[in-house]
Amino acid sequence: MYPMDPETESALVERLRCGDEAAFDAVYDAFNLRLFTFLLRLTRRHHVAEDLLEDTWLRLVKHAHRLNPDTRLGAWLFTVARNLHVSYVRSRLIEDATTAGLMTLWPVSIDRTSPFEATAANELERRLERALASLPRASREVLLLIGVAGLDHADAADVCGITPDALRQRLRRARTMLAKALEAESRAAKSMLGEVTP
Amino acid sequence: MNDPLLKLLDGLPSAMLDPARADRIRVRCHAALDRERRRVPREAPRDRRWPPIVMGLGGLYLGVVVQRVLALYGLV
Repeated sequence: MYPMDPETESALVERLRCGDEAAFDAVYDAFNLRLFTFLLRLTRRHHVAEDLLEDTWLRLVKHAHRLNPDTRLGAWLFTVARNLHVSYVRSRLIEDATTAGLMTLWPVSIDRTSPFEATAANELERRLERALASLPRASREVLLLIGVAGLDHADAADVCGITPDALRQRLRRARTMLAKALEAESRAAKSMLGEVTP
Repeated sequence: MNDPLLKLLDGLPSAMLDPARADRIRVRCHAALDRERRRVPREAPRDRRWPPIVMGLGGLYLGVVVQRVLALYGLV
C-alpha cells in the first residue's frame, strides 16, 4: 500500500524497468483505486475517468524501461493522470466552444451531479462532495492529492508542477474555499429544512 | 494529518471501478509490457552503434576545419 517504503519502491521501479509483470501488478494494486478516485472526482464522469485511468497505466508501461531508478511512483502516476485530465479539459473546451450553440437547442439541462454525490452514505458526505465539486480545478486537485490520495507535500508539489511553498499556499487557499463552500452548503440545507418544517 | 477538514476528506469513500474494466486494463498493460520488453533490447544495440560513428565523423570534420584555418594563416 501507499506510501511505500523507499526500498520497496526502488525495487519495484527496477523490476518495472525490466518489464516484470508481477512488479506491474504490485504497482497496479497499490495505486489503481487511488488514481481512479482522483480522476473521478476531477472529471465527475465515470467513463471519462476510466479512459484516463487506462491511458495513465498504458503510459507507465510504455515508459517503464526509461524510469529513473529513484522515481517516486505515486508522484509519477498522479502527474500523468493530472496531465491527461488537463489535456482532456482543454480538448473539451474547444469541443464545447464549437457545440455551445447547438446545446442551447437541447430541451433539458445536463446533469452535472458527481457520481460520489449520488452514492454518498450520509448528508455530511454529500455536502462535502458538493463543496469539493464546486471548487476551481487547481484547488480541488490539491485537496484531492493531499487529503484523499494521501500524497505528501513534496510529491503533491511535483504533481502540480509547483514548489512546495507554492503548494502550501495553494492548499491553504483551497482549504479556506472548501470551508466556505461547506458552510454555504450547510446554510442552504438549513433553509431548505426551514421551508419544509412548520 | 491534523487538519480536521483534511481528515474529513480522508474519510471520503473510494470510487468503485468496474472489475471487468479493471481486468481489461491489466491485461492490456501486460500485453503492452510484453511488447515493450521485446522491442527495447532490439533497439539498444542500434542505439549504441551510432554515437561512435557520429563522434568519429564530427572529429574528422573538426580536424579538416582546423587544418584549413591553419593553412589560411600560413601556419602549415
